[in-house]
Amino acid sequence: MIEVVIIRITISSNFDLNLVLLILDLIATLILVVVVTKASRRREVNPTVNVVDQVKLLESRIVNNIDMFRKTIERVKDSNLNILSAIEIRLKELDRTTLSLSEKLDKKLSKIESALTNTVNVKIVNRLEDIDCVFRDDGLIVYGSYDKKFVVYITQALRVLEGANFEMLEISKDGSTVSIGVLGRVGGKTLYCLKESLYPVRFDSEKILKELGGIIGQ
Amino acid sequence: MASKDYEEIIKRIVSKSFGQIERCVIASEDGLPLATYGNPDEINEIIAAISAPLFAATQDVIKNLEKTKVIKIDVELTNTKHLVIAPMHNNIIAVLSSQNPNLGLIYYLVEEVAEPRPEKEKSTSEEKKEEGEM
Repeated sequence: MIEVVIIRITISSNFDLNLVLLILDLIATLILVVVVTKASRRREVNPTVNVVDQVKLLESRIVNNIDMFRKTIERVKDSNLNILSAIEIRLKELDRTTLSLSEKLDKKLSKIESALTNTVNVKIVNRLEDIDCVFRDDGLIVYGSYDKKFVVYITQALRVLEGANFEMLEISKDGSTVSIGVLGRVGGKTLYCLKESLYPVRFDSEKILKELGGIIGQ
Repeated sequence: MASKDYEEIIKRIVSKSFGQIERCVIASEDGLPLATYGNPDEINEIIAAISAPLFAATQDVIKNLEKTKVIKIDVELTNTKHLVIAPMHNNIIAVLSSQNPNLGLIYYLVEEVAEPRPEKEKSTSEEKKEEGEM
């Protein structure tokens, strides 16, 4: 009686590993079939030989070899998995670096854009008549007129900023920009000029002060 | 107006002043304090006693110059403080500022509560006198 032994080794693995093992199964089966056929022929010639024992011995050898091969493949798979996870971590790091670089670049670009826009649109104010008002550091308006409440509270804010040595202050208000510039010190009081407009402005303090001096007699 | 209302007014002014006001007094036209801020209170009494006649006198003097009313009096002191007095109907509000004050802010806060003093009704004897002069 011819016995066909099919060795099936099931390894839970990914698709490629299963395919390899299937092929191995087939090869082993074929080998067994060949061996069993040969043995049966030999038995016909020499019936004293125990074919079943020989087949079992061969089977165990093949099973051992396949087991070793499976272990090797699993080791390879594990090492591959480690490499893959390392690559994944590295890729994530790269992603983060790229993202932060992109954000930094965006910020720099927006700054450059805003600087370019300001350079193009900025208007130099050098005449007193183009200013809404000139006020002192004690909150009193000395030229022109503007919302008194705004001026007195902005004076209070300017007093806080006194040590900051700023030249310009811009405040967004109801869709327009209120620009406040330092004109200089006259009679022990610091003078500020204020202009509300839709575009950014820069003050020519020297010219404005000269014109103001002619008007208020300083 | 009740005394509580005067206290509320003073509280509001002082809280909005960012420390620019050292003392604040609401006084009757005869110089009696109705509500005060700042310690000691004796000085507030002095401010009330000075401010009320000072304002009344200024108002009388100005009346001889221009037919107008006084909105406020600002007394500038050598220590850079200011005493600002303004009418509140028949009373006055007097504010003593801190040194180098944000004067614009003090004016703004005082003007918010100030009310011009109403014209005094002329007595019948005064009216007769004026008619006689004419």
